Amino acid sequence: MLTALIIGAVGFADFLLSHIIVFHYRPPKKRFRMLMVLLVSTAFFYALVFWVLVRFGVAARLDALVPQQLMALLFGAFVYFFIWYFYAHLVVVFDRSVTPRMMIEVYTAPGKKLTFEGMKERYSMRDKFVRELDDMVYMGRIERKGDIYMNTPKGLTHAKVMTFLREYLHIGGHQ
Amino acid sequence: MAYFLSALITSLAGIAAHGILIASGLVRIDPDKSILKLKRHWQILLIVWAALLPLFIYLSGVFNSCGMIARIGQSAWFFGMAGITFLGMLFFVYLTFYYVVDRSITTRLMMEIERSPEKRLTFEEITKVYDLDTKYRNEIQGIVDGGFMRREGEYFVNTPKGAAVAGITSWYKKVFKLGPGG
Repeated sequence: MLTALIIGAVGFADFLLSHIIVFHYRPPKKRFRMLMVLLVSTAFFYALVFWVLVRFGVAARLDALVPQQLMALLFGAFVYFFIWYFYAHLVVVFDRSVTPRMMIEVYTAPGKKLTFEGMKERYSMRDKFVRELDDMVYMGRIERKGDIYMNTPKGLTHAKVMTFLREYLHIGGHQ
Repeated sequence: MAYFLSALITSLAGIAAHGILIASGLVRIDPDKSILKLKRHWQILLIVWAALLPLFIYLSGVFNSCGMIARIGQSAWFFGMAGITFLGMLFFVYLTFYYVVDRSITTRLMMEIERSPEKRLTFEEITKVYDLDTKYRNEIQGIVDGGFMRREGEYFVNTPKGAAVAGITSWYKKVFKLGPGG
């Protein structure tokens, strides 16, 4: 199993590198689709690499370096805590994500349809912004003095890192 | 294979336990305060996951003693699937970070404050540089482009895909007492 996990990790590193290069030099219009194309092609390539290593006995020699049960336990534990991480994020998406809330408003509206103005009446983006700012004040990324908002050092670092990444990867401009 | 299976089953038990704790009212979380509410949910989930570790260990022992599962767990096929699963999990973890960079409202808010000449803004100044209506229209366009809604004249209507997402999200918010959110 060690070989498979190393291949998985190397595959992910390769995906990340490809993603950075493609997004920086040839920014795609459909970004999520490109991420999936990169992921699937990486997975196929490294699955092939793995099978070659198995076929020529390299995998067996590498796997013998670490007790099989230990690798299986570590992988199982990783899966267990990954599912926690996945589910915890699902809770965040269900709760905070703008798009499902908009779909719910349409779903529960009379006639199950809404105009743009109708949607704004039921779900205020202004209130959303206020809540987000309040949350950032609570998290120590923004401080509020009267009606003025300023970044804290933590918020400033966040803003600078994100600005760099958005510009380098050419993402985030559609908001 | 044994540890993988017990991780899956124990996690399902964890999700069920989370649901029971919240839906039954045994654990009460104020649905109005956004980030505090989520912090509480994450804490509860961590406690539940940690508390179920004995189940993970017990089930691992049970599955390890099953000959067929042990044999599958030694196969190159299973190892290959484990490697791909590992890659997929790493991708998902990265995706949570990617979406913060790409789509997060709070990220944009902090960036706009940083970009401003005096590095401070009132709420009204924020909404001038980060226009509420533009944000709203962009979100709706994203939903339409994703096939979750369609436009019929001046109205927006959920597609079957959008209705399914709305139904599931609505149910989850109700059972887990999340409030309207968004």
